[in-house]
Amino acid sequence: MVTREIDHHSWITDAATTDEVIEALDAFGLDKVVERLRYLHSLDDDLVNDEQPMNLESLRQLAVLLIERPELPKPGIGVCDDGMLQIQWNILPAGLLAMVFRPPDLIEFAAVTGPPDATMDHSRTYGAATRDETLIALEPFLDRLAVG
Amino acid sequence: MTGDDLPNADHIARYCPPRQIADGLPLASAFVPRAHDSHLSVNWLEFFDAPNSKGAVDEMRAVFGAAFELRPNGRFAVLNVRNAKLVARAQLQRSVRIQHLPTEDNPAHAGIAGYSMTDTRVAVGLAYLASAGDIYPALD
Repeated sequence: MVTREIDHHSWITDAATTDEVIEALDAFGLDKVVERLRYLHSLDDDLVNDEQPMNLESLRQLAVLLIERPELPKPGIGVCDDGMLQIQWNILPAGLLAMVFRPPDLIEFAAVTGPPDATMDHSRTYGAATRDETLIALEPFLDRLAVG
Repeated sequence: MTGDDLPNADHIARYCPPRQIADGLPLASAFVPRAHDSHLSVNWLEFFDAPNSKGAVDEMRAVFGAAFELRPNGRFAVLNVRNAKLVARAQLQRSVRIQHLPTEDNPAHAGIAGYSMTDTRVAVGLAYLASAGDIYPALD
């Protein structure tokens, strides 16, 4: 287990470019994630209106989390205007959980449950924390994520 | 008038570029304000006084698209003003304002003010609300 952690951390931290991080993810069999990231990265060539390209450090944070937790369904993946990577899942039976990766090691996260209207239950599950702390905070939701 | 709060019954549309859309729906990143902005930019649909929402979106698309480069896979996510404020207030435990902030290029420009890029919970709430609302292609 320790060996695997050292391996994937070094794969990701040694990756010097966005392309290399995505290639590293490919080696871990995260095909759908890789496909989405390649699409998002292709959009970096055509940014407008002050949009920033994908942030390499933010991408590394995302990559490490998804490699460490391969049991998680493929998330929806987006890029904030400032280039930070964002992932999200629908929560079953109704809800949404999202994370924004902010370097060097913070993840901003939040989850809402209930119907998607103004009556939704605004659970107090939100914050900004390290990867491990974030996963602990979100543990009650992690086995209720919809397959993307 | 600049700075007026939009009526609760009215609607706003947020442009979501392709990298903030998945499976045709807006991601939370579409509702994260930029660091240097005091508000999240949106468009006030009732400004156009169109007979229905599709007509308003068509007019908004023309005005907004003239000043702002729209992408084929982008979307406009439409939210009711009241519901957007309720969701944001519930998440923040304080009120946000949705104000008419016309610009030279876009007289229907409006903004959701009162939360920042680090208030991810508001972006999540608004994205979830938008997922059940009307979504229009950025380009007709």
